[in-house]
Amino acid sequence: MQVTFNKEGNALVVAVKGRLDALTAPDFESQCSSHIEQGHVLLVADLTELEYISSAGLRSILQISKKLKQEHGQINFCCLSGIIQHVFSISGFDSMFSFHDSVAQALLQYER
Amino acid sequence: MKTEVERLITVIEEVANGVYSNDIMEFTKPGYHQIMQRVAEAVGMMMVKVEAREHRLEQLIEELKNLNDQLKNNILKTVVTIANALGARDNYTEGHAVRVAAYAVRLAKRLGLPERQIEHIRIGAVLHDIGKIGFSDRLFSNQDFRISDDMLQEIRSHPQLGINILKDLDFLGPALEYVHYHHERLDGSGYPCGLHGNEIPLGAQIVSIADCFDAITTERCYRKGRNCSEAFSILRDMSGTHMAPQLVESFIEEVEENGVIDGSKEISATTSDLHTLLAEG
Repeated sequence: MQVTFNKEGNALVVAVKGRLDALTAPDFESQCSSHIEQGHVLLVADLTELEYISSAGLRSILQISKKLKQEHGQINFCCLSGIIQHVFSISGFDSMFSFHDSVAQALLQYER
Repeated sequence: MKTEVERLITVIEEVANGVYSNDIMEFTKPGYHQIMQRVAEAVGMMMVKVEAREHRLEQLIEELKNLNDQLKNNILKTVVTIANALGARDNYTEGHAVRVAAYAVRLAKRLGLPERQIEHIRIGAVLHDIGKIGFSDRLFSNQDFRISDDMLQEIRSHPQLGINILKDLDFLGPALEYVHYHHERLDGSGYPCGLHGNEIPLGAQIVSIADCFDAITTERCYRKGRNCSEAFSILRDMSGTHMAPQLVESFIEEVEENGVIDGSKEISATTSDLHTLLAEG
């Protein structure tokens, strides 16, 4: 798994590549946490290149979301493939977050 | 293998008991038997689902709390607006309603009443005289204040008039009773129903004391306002017959400790001042 962070306006775009599972989720969570601690509280998760997400990956997202909530921040998602969308849907995450077709659209949410 | 299965079962039992952690995810890692990985992933997914739902519920509760606060605020604004309608006919009543609300809330807080009841008392106190809006003009313009029997009867009709006006506003709850009974007296000599003792709701008794105190201490066209010690003495005269002694004493203690409400500020109170004062009270 690879994570890259790009600042776009007032938001931080987090692009995840590869697999988000029990092996990689802790690293993903800690990288995001340190950015949140630095004051980046509006996140866009770009999942274009996310190949697989397990329960561990979902849990790390939930933990990040809780942390953001405490900091009055937010995370939204964009560019989910069909399989990832399916996992989000069966876990109930689809009713908790907002989803967009592109990074640009996801960023718009924070500009309003 | 056996030990690993036992460890997995222990972790599953913890999850079942509501202890959510990453422990279950450990068993989804390479190195464990494929069946264990599948069981762990399925349980892990179930756990995350439950956790996500709990988190969502917490968020919804918070949103509901915020909406409820907004609603309460709007109710208070509506109530103040209604009270202002009376203020348009009678300047005294406008400032009086807000001061009575502030005194009544102070007494209610001092008595340690629950927050919800305090809110009802606040609203009942703001609206307690709203029935006066139905008074004939002679009562508002009467300067010498010689009152005839039929004028007295008209004055005494205001709690009932108030209820007639407000009765369809269900959200006022017990505040309606406080408006209705704020002129009742412990010995049954009050109006409109001649209730006795505990038949008079506590909220109405509190509004009644605050109402009397403000009426005594405020300057009116027909007499000067009296000072606190005179007012306390009048309240004590009414204690036991008209008002519950422990309420009177608590009220006096409250005013002695935290002072009277500045009358000059409230007479010219605008709607926003009213909000501030109501929120402070």
